[in-house]
Amino acid sequence: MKAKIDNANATALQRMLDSQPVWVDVKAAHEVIPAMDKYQIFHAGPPVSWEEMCQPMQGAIVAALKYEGLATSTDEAFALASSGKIKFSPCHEARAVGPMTGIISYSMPVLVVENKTFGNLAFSTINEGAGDVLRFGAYSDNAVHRLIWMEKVLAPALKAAVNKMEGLSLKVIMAQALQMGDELHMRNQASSALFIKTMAKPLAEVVDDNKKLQEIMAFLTQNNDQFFLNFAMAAQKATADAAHGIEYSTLVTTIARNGVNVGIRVSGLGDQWFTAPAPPVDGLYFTGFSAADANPDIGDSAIMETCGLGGLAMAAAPAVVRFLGAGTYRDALKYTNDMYEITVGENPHFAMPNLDFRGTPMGIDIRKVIETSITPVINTAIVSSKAGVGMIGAGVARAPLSMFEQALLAFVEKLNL
Amino acid sequence: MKNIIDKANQEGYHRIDSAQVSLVDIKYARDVLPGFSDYVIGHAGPPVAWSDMCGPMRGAVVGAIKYEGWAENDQEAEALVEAGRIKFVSNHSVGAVGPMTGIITQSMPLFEVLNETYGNYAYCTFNEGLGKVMRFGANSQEVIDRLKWIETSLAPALKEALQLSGPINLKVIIAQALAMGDEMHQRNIAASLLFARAIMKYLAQVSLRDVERARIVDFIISNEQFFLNLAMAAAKATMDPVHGIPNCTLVTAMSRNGTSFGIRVSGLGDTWFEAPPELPQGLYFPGFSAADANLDMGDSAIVECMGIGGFAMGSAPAVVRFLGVSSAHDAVKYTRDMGEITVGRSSYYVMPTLDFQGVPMGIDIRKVVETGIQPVINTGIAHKEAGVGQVGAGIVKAPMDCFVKALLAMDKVLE
Repeated sequence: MKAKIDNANATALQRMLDSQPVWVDVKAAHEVIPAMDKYQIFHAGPPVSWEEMCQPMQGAIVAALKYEGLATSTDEAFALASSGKIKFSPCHEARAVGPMTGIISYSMPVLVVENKTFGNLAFSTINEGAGDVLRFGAYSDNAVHRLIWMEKVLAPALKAAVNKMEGLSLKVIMAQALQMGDELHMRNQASSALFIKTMAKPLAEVVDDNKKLQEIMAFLTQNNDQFFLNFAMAAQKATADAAHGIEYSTLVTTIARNGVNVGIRVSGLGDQWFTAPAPPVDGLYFTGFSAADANPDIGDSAIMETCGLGGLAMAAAPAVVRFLGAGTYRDALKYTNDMYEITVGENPHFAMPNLDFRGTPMGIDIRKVIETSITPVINTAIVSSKAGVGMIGAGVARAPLSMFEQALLAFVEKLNL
Repeated sequence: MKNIIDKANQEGYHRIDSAQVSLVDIKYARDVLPGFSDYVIGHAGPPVAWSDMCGPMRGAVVGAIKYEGWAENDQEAEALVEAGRIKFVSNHSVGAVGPMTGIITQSMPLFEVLNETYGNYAYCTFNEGLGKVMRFGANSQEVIDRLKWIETSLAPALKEALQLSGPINLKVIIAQALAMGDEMHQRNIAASLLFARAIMKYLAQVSLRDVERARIVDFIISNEQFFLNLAMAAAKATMDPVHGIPNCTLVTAMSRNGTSFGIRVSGLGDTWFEAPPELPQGLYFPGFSAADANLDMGDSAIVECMGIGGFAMGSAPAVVRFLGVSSAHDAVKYTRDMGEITVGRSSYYVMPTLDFQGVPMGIDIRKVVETGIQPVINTGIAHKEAGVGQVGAGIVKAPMDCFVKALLAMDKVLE
């Protein structure tokens, strides 16, 4: 049986390694999510009802309902959201991912990423930048207007540019950025700059209206160091999905949090979620905030760690360690070295100069997590537990061990059947 | 005596550390470099006569003469030089620097960098990109055409964009790029991107035809060494105020003309202390070997004087493979060694891979001679024949003789 599992894991790992995620298009959510209607909203993490949701997620849903024109005021939006008319489901179940609250509604433009090796698609929203943004639960007019601008101005320009380029390999940008001090989750300085470098000329060519071009360049270049995160997330989702559904495989293909619970899915265990209460985040807070203000861990962005980046690649990004309050350079190396203990392979495409060009740890095995009691480390932003306040810090969270225990039990049970 | 020198060196260190350098404008050489008019050519390194110039520098001189229209073709250009009509000037003597051959003539646009702390300006040419370029001694029509385009299209657009953006703080970009794996001499990938990001919004506002805007944007973003020339101007603007402190034994310039390697020392006036340059040790592009290499060349070693480049190798593990160094561990060792010959650590330029230690800066000629450790310089390698271009990249050490000569001279002038 062990050989069977090892074989299955080797297959799953190879599929992750062979994946070639390419950004191919920008489309409205309803164009890519089958049978989506206006009253359907997708969110980060495992399933959660309106009543159970944390405040930031509720706030983001209010913003989405206003953006869709389904409510004209905040009160109306709250009433509609709690009326039972809106159907909520996890992004992950629609091949999509979203950072923090991860809200995706009908009209929102999404990045379309194709895994060229296996043909599967993945989707992610477009990053809104910093400030009062929907992903942190803001529902101000400013947040809603920005979403409309992204739909009407930014998305068509990105679409035209990427169509003209006939696709953009995300793996190449991610590999380069990893050599430039990004771990691609909480530090996307290099990847965002590489993205701008790649897109500046095509954008200048496809946008005829000079005022629009100025707005787009300002949006991409000012105060938007995390712009690439959403591309990386879609790339990782397209990679993880290709490794999902391998019989007997014990590799983790999803880690996601909804702000109340965190859940994992396992390649050989179908679409079942194994959940635990979302852990608090250990980190540094912006001036005026403390752990008492923090929401528990939230967002689909742990897809970065699921496929070996983010916290797993901390050694590549010593500068992020200070931002996260996670110690020294040595600690950064230790995080990554520990993660080799719970993974089945390494990704030679993602070489880390600081570890003498060793590949990132890849393929989290639930068996190894249980054996070693070492849990995956997740780099993350910290959001206020109140809707609309936004980001208040950044830090490190650990995926709770109990999810892996439940998954392993389910696996054993399945084998016995 | 030791106390007097240490005190002078502390003042020198403080001036390096407290410099605030920003790109403020684009200017043409004729408007800002003293004496730059017809028939004047600036070059890298200490002063050198035409008869002593290496192949690539001669090639670049011929190219510059054609670019300025002082001659129609190569033969005419060479005849003009042979007739003694051209006046050669060391860039460093006019507040300017240029990479490799470092050629500057009156029509060339220059980055103008202001050291806001001390009020001095420094200048550097624009980076031409890779391939056949004048800094490596190429002088074909393609090279001249590119320089003309830089002069007449790129420079005015960047100037206008800079007027919209206001000064761009280079110290911040250098500090950020250090945390992104650049050492700012042979690796400027992050710094070039950060600069492009800083200017892009304003370039979009400059009134240009779409096709020209796309060409300008493409030129800036497709050149991973674009920022090198900005780093050089920043380093020159940082180091110039350190020069001329009585009794100070810090190195304020290291520079090479391809024939000779020279250093200048703060307390020793404008004298260059020279020695033959060494051959860089490094990796060659396919088809080339050490036999094709020119001796070490260029003003770019000004960045090492400020503590980046070879001195910051520990922060740029990805560059080591490009330069033929074996491991990340060796990269750290270079930086540690440079700590032995410098007087302090930068408070701004910190290296995450060395637990946020500052880069070693302020090369003390006494320490170099005492320890026998030579400053290390990361460098491009030019072909020894004019026009072939870059053949590799590697590491070179500043010749010990420069430092010994300077120390002997110091003995005589100590007050």
